Amino acid sequence: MIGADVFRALADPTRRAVYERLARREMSVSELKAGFAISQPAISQHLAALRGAGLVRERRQGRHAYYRIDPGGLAPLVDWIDRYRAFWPKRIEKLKDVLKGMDP
Amino acid sequence: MSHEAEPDDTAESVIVECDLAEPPAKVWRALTEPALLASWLMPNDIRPEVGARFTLQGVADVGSDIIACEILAAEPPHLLRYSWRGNDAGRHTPDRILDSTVTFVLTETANGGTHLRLVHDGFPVGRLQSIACLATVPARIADLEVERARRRVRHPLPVIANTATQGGRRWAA
Repeated sequence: MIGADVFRALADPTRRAVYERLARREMSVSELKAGFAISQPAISQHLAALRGAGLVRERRQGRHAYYRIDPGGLAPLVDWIDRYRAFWPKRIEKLKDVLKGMDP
Repeated sequence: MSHEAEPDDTAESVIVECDLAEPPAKVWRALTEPALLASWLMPNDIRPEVGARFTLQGVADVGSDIIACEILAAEPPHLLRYSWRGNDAGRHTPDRILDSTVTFVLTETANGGTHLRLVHDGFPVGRLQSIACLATVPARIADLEVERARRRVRHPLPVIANTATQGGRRWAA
């Protein structure tokens, strides 16, 4: 199981859209809400999931909170691609052996 | 011979290329006959026809126990492409967050062998990564500003103007 929270957080299309908006700039919940047809509590819930997964950070300034993404949060997904970087060369070596053993 | 345009050779692709002594027709068999494919990749029920669905029984080293595939292109013995939908150690991951595409291109070499090019790409993660890169610089600036604001609590700085470039690759739903 790799980065379970990250997978779960990004599996939702709305959360991905939230993530994408916050990648462009830091925003408050109300700024963020302006781009979506969903309620502020729903936005807050998505933010909580993204924060819980380490994908979004909160910055408090007085009574206000601002959100932006934490690019390092994607590391578990990058690791997932890296598994394939190791996987395919090994399998191609096996393929070479299989080809040698095949009938003409 | 009609090859489709090859996928982008980006940082989010895994590419393996090699020359094989055997001719493309033989390599094609090893890629598309279930018993042969099983002996180097994974147990499977592949049928090399466009639209055919099959599964690969996954292995621990890619973290998925079943990989669901669909043939996207099959031009024997030169081009085979299928979708590759992993799961996360058996847990269902909705909305294709783990989807990708595997492409094999076989080209006959001068000595009758095969040049094999394998490309594993189309990772949604890759697109997210490029989106995330947009935030890197402003995030660092913001960190500095937060630090400064902490030092002079009585006169916090205004919200930082953000200079992130708009654009980047859109999420393809």
